[in-house]
Amino acid sequence: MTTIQPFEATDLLTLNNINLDILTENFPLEFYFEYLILWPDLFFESRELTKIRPDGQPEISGYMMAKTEGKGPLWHSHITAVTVAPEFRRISLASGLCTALQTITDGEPHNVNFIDLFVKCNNDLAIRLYEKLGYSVFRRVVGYYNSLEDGYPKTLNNIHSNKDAFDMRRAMTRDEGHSIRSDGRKHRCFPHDVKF
Amino acid sequence: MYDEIFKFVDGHERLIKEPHRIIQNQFYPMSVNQDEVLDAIERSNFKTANQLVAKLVKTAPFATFPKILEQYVKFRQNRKKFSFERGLAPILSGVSPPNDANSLHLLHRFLIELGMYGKALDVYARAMQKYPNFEIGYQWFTKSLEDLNFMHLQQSSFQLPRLSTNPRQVYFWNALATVGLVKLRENLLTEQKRNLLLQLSYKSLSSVKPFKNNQELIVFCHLCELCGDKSQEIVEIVLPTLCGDNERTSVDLHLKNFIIKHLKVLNDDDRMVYVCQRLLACLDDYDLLCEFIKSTKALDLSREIAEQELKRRDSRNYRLATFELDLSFDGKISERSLETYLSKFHNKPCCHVDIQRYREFIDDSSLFSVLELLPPGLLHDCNVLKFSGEKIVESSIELLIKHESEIKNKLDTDYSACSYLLLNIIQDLVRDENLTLQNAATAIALLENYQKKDCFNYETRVWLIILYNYVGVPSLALEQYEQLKVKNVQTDTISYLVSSRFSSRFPDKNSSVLSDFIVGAKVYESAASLPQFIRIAFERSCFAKVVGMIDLYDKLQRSISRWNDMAESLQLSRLLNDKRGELLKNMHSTWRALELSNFNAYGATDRLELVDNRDYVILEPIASSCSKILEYARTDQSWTLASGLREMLVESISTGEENIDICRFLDAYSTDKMTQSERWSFSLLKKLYRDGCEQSAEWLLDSLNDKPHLHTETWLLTHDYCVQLTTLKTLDGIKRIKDATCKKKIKLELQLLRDACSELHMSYAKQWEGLDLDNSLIERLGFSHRVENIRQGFMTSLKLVRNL
Repeated sequence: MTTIQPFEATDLLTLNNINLDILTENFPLEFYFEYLILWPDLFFESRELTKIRPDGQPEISGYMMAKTEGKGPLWHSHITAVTVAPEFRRISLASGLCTALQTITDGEPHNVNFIDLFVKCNNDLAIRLYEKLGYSVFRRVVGYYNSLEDGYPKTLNNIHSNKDAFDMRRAMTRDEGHSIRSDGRKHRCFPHDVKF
Repeated sequence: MYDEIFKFVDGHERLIKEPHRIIQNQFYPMSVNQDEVLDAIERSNFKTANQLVAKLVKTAPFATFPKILEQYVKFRQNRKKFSFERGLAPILSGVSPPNDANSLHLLHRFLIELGMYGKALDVYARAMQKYPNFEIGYQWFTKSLEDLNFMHLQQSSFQLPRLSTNPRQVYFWNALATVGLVKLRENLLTEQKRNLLLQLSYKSLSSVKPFKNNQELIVFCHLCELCGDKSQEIVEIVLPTLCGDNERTSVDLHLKNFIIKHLKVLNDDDRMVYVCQRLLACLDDYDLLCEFIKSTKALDLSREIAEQELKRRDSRNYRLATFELDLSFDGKISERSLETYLSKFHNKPCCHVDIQRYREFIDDSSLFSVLELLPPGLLHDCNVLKFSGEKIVESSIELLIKHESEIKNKLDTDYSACSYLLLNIIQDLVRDENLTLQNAATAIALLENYQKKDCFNYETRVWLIILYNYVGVPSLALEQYEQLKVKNVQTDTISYLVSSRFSSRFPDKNSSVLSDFIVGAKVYESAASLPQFIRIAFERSCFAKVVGMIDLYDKLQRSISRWNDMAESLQLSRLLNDKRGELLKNMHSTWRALELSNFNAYGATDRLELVDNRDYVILEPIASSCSKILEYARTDQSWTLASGLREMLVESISTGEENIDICRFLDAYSTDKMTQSERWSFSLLKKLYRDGCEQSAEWLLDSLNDKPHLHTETWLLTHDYCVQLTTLKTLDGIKRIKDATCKKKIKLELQLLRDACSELHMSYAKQWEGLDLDNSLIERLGFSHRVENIRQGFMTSLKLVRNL
C-alpha cells in the first residue's frame, strides 16, 4: 500500500533497495540537488506503509525525477528517471508515479503542453508500458545512447536499436495534438535536436 | 530513462555559474602578497611568510587584515608559543572590530583552528553590530550555513530584512532558519527562546501575506506547525490552493501532507472527506484512502458512500482499502475482500508485506483456503511459504528444486523470487548457532552457483560479499562488490561491506576499489559543495527542500564511513611504510570540522558524535540471526573514533608532543567492538602516549609478551597478523623508544610474526582443501560443488601480506 510523498535530500541515503539495481543510475549529489532546487515538486517518491524501516519510516519503493523545460508550444515536463524496487515491481507502481507527474504538471504552476521521456528503441517492455499510459513515439533520436567510443552520430541513416532512443510524448489537452505523430518512428533527429 | 548524465555538466554549471551575489561573495580575492603569505604558510616556509607579512603591515599600518595575518603566521609557526590573549584578543576587542570581508574570513578560519568554535561566527555578529550592512550580514548568513550553525543562521537572517532590497525574501530565510533550528537543534533552545523565535518569524511572515507561491506557503505551514495550535490556520490557507474552484489547481505533495495532518488534528471529518475525494481524483494514495474511510465512518455516512469512492480505480491501494473499509464498518475483514485482493496479488512480491499488516484480523484458515484456490507458481508458492512460517528450510529446498528452471527462462534484468528461497537456506547454514567453516563454504558454493543464473540479483550478491570476507578471501569479495557498481552517495551507505577494517583484512593500496577509499570517496568531495547549493536554494526561494538538504550535508560531514576510510588509510600507510603527511593533515582538518559540527549541534565540545548512514536494512531479515559472519563490518561510532585517535596517538608518540584532542577524548570511547589484537594495539599506544616512551620500557616488554595469539582461521587470521605487524612496525620506527632490550624485543617479535605468516595462511588454505561441503544439499539443488577460486583467493591474500 503506497503513499506518494515529496522526495527529501536525506532519502538519498535509503535508496539501496532501488538503486542497487544494476540498471538504475546513481547520479552525483550535485545532480540530485539541482533537481531538488529547480524542480522541487517534480521529484517525489512512493512509500510503502506496510514496510517500515528500523528508523520508523515507511520504505521507499520507487521514485520519480522530472523537470520542466522548453518554450512556447514546446514547454513540457521531462521524465529523467522513474524507477521501482524489485520487491514492488509488476504492480503498476511506475505507472502510478507517471500518472502523479501528469497530475502535478498539468496543473498550476506548471501547465505543461506535454510530457516526454527517452527510452531505448529495443526496450519493448518499457515502450509498451508507456504506450499503455498514453505515450506515443514522436521521433527517433539516433545515437542518443552512444558511448564515448561510439562517438557522436554523423548521419541519421545508420540506426541501432540498442543505441538510439525513442522520444515518447504524452500530450495534455492544451497541446491540441501537436505532440502526437502517427508516424513518429519514421522521424529521425540528432541528440542535439532534443536539447531545450 | 536515465538520459541526463551527459547533460548534467551543463545543468550543474548553469546553477553554480549564475551571477548571484552569493557566489561572488564566497571567495575573498586577495592581492598577490596575501596569497603569497598563505602559500608560504601552507608550505611551512615561515621565514618567507614572516618577511612578506611584515612588508604587508608596513604598507598598510592601519589596516586590520595584515595584523590578523601576522598573528596567524605566528600561530601556524608555533602553536604552543602562540598567545591568544596577547596576539589576537586585542584585535578582536578593539573599539573598531574587524569588518572587511578578508579579515572576517581569516578570523573565522583562525578561531576554528584555535578550537574557539563559539567565537568563530561572533566576529561577524560584532561587525554587524557596529557596521550593519547587507554584505557583512550576508557573509555571516552563508558562513553560518557552511558551519551548520543554526543559531547564527537564525540571528543573521533576522537582521537582514532591514538592510536588504528584497526584505520579503529574507523574511522567509529567517523563518526557514527558525524552522531548521527548532526541528534539527531544539536541544540548543530554552522553551522561552523557542517560542519567541517562532513568534517573531510567524509575525514576519504574516506581514507579507498573501503568499506568492507554494514554496512560501510551505515555509509558513512548517512554522505554524511548530508554533502549535495553528491547525485551523494551516487548513484555511492551504485549502484554496489545493482544492480551489479551478479544477486544475495545484497538487503539491507537501501541502497535501499538511492539510491531511491538520484536518486530522481538528477532527474536521466533513472537510477531510471533501479534501480526500478531491485529491483521490488525481492521486492513488493509500494514506488518503484510509483517512477518507475513517472520516466517512466518523460522520456516520453509509458504507455504500465509501464504497462508491473505492470504485474509482482498481489498483493495489484500492483493493487493500476494502480491508480498511471492512474493519471500520464491520470490525473484521471479509473473505470477499481477501479474495478480491489475493486474486490479483497472490503472485506478486508485495503480497506478504501487504497482508502482514492486517494479519491479526485475518484468520489463517481463510487465508490459506483462498490461497489454495489460486493457481500456484513461483511467487505464489513463496508467498504461501512466507505466510506459513513452517519448515522454512526444507520447503525452500523443495520449492527451489521445483522452480529452478524458471531462473533460466527469465530476463537477465528481472529478479527471480528463487533468491528468497535460497537465502532461507543460506540463513540456516550460517546462523550463529550453525556457523562452521563447512557451512560457510557450502553457502558460498550455493550463492556462487545461483549468482551465475540470476546475475543482477543484489540480494544474493551482498551475502556473497559478506561470506567471502568472513572466510578471509576479501579479494573475491571485492570482485563481487565491483559488480554492484556502487558509486556517488551510495558509497557512503554500502561501502562498509568491503571497507570495514580493510587495512588489516586486505592491505592492498592498488586495489581499484580500496584506492578510492584511500583518496577519499567522491561523494565527500561533492558534499563539500552542498552549502553552495543550499545557498542557491535560498537565493532562488526554493524553500521546501532546504532543511532536508542541510540535514544531508550534516550526515555526510559526520559520516561513520568517511571516518572509517580516513583511519583505515592511515593504518594502511603505517603498515606499508608510506608517507602519512597529507593523510594526517586531512585527518586533523576533518577532526576540527567534526568538533565544529558537534559544537554547533550540541553546544559543547566534550562529546563527538558521528552519524551512521550505513544501510544494514538490505541484509535483513537474515542479518539479525547471523551476527557472527557480520562481525568484521559491525563497527560502531566508538570503534571508528578510537581508530582516528589511534592514528593521532602514533603521530604524537613519534613527535613527543601533547595533543589536546587526544587528551580530551582518549578515554571517551569504549573498546567493545575491537578485536583482541586491536584492543592490545590500542592499549599499548595509549600507554606509550600517556607515560612517554622512556617511562614505559618495562611495561612495553610485558605488553609485547602478552601479545594475543593469532587466530588460525576466517578473516581474523589476516586481520590479527596485519594489526600486530602494523603495531610492531610502528614501534620499531619510533625513535623515542631507546631502551635496547625493548628495541631488540620488538625486532624479534617482528621476525617471529613474519616467519609465521606463510605457514599460518597455508595451513588455513589446506584446511579448506579438506573441507567437506554439504554435497548432498548442493547436488539436490543441481548445483556444482566446486569452490576452487577460494584457494586462489587465499593465495592472493598470502602474497599480499607475506612481504609486508
